[in-house]
Amino acid sequence: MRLFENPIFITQRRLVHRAGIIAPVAVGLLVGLSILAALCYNLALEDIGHHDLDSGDVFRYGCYAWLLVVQGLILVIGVFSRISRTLVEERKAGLLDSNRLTPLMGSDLVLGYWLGSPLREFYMATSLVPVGLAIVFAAKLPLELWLGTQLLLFSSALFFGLLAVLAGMAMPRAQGGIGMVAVLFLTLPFSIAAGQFSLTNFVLPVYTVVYLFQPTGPDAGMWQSPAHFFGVAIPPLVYTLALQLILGVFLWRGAERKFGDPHQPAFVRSEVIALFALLVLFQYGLVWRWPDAGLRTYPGANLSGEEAVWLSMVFLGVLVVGIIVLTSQLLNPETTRLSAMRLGPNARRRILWQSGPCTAFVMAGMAIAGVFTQFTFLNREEWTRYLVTSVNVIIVFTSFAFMTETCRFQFGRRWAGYFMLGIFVLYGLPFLLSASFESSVPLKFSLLAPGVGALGNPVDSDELRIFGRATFAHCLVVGILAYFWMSRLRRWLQEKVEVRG
Amino acid sequence: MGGMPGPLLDVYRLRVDFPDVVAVNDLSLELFAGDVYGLIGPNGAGKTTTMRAACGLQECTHGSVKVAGHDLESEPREVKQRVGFMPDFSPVYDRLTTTEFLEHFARAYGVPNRSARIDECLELTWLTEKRNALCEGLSRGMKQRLLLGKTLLPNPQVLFLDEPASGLDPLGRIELRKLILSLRGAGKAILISSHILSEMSEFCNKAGIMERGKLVKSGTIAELGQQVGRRKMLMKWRSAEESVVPVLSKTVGVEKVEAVPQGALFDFVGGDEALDELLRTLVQQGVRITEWRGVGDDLEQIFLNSGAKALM
Repeated sequence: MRLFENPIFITQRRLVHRAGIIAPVAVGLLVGLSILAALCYNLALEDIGHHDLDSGDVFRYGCYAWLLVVQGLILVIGVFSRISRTLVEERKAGLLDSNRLTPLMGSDLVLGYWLGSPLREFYMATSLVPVGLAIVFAAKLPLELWLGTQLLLFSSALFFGLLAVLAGMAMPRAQGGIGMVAVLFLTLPFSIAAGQFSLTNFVLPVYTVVYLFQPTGPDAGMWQSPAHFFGVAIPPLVYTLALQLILGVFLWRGAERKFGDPHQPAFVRSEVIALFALLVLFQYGLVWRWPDAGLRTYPGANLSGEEAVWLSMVFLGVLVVGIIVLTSQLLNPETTRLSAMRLGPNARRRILWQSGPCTAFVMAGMAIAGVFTQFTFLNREEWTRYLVTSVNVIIVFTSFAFMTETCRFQFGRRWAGYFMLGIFVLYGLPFLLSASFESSVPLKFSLLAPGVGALGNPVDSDELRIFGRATFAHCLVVGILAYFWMSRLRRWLQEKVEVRG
Repeated sequence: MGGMPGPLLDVYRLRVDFPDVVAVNDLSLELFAGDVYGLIGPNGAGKTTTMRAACGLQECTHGSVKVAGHDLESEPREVKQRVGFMPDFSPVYDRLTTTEFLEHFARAYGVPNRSARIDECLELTWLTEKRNALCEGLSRGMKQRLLLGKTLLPNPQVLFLDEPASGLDPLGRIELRKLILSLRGAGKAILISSHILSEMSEFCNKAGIMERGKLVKSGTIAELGQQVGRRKMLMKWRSAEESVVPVLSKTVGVEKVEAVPQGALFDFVGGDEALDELLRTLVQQGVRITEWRGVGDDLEQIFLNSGAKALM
């Protein structure tokens, strides 16, 4: 269905127009024109020899940067909150159900809400596009800067818009979506420091925007080169657009699925695994060339080197993204009960196959493959270290999955408290103990936290032995968790399904 | 090869589970063209959930729903083309006019000759005068009528009407009754729930009583009356036989005897044989009966006698 024949889009456009668009556009223009006026005033002062204000390139680029900030706020925060709020409100009012009951395809619904409900924000931001061009001309900035940044802003708005459609369908409250964006932006301070080596900098287009501004100065080196995908140089703009497009396809499919049946998870397991694999691939593709700087080690192995710290962060980032992605595939008691009732006698085997730990093993495999790319390039002879890293990845993912699902099935609605207690025992306590001792003891205690071994650097055979023992202990912990998980799940299925079924 | 046409709505062993309750449990029903099926039961019995599940808005644990032979799970678009659902509350776009609201759904359903059909639906729901009014300015009853118009817009074969009369004024209810009867005449299958059982009696030819998610009784109104073991009878006799009423009152199985001109209305509790026996006894006693028939189309009575009242 064409966009202008899409009933959802038409209605959303009507609603936006009826609420009035002149005032918000005028406010946006006023802000934009104020920035332009400040620039013109400064340029005029420069012409007559005054240099009271910031002068030169810094001020010129700064004016355009401020305009981008305004546009960015409108297009990212504004579009996101508008879409998610519209969807949450229509869902609560029952209008979404009315629309879902029509023969409209899921894609029609996604398209209508995605492009229709944030029209006011699109108008506001679009009205600032010529203002931006005027600033670029007046400040004699490169035209590519204007073209590239505007393209990035609108592509990011569309990307975040799709994320908002998904959030609006999944979140109980409109504010939940904003919380998601806030969390995403909280990761920025960490990823910005890693410059061209952090995937987040490309998804959120931070790197590409800075790159287009052609930064100078002592730290500019991290922002001046093109993106590298396993050594192949790619223009950052293309890299960002490609990333947003690929992730956008996943978001679109998730949103479409949610419109079809809001009770189903947005992503099926194969999609989640594919998404995680792509994220790992793109991330390790970015850090592939890092060792050119002289670093010859694996993630986190040499904590004294600055690059190694960032590599550890990349590794941690992969683990965190893996945990987030894995969370969407963990078994939920209610949906498990329903699917068990549907599946009948084959339920147990199918549920075990669909469970979080099963997905965790597959995802750990993806992460291990990602780390492997670095080992192949960096340090072929360090296979013992690679083994320690790989086993730790499996331990982190599976212990998380086993623990979360056991808590969910054992404690019902009160599961979160027990889960947090478990996390504290596994991860908090070892570090608290290690902080209470001196010399080599802290190392031993901190290694009690699953996964930490992958970030350490065993320098001699003694330390390697300690790492090995810790890893073995973690395998035992995973085994115990697996035993509890299995017995709890079996008992739960007997109690909840066979009795009521 | 004529053959009997299949049911327009075929719900088979439907089950819907909520976290703490089985909302619909093993429910089966069939509706043919021209059937108006009244779903009655106390609050929380599962009427709305049944409707939502039957039209695809609520996830079912198991069971199947077919509309005009199309399976809801495998052919959802075919089913959606043939189904209209009117919920018990009025979700409307407040900032659209009534015409724009109907236009939205006319586009979504791909209704041909859109504006003529919208006019028709506005007229059917007595909203022609409000065609340019914003939805936010409509009363609850008007919103309810607008929603009915939206439901009728794609000319669905199967209609699910959840409390359609709520919020309607007396005149609106009369018009609604007429409309449902005309839809019934046009061969639609209608599943309707309402708490106003006296009104439902006037247009339902079938009904079912739901209790705690289960359809405990189902059938034509007459069959239901028999199922609950109680029916209302009208008996008339020749003049000057006033003594019949006291006799009738003392007869086993006869309750609530009410005198009417040259006759009496009474509730009879018992099966067909017991009723035949009563008639025989009266004739043997010399009562000259001129009319003897059941007037059992009273859903309210059936519902009250079913025991469901205790759950309310």
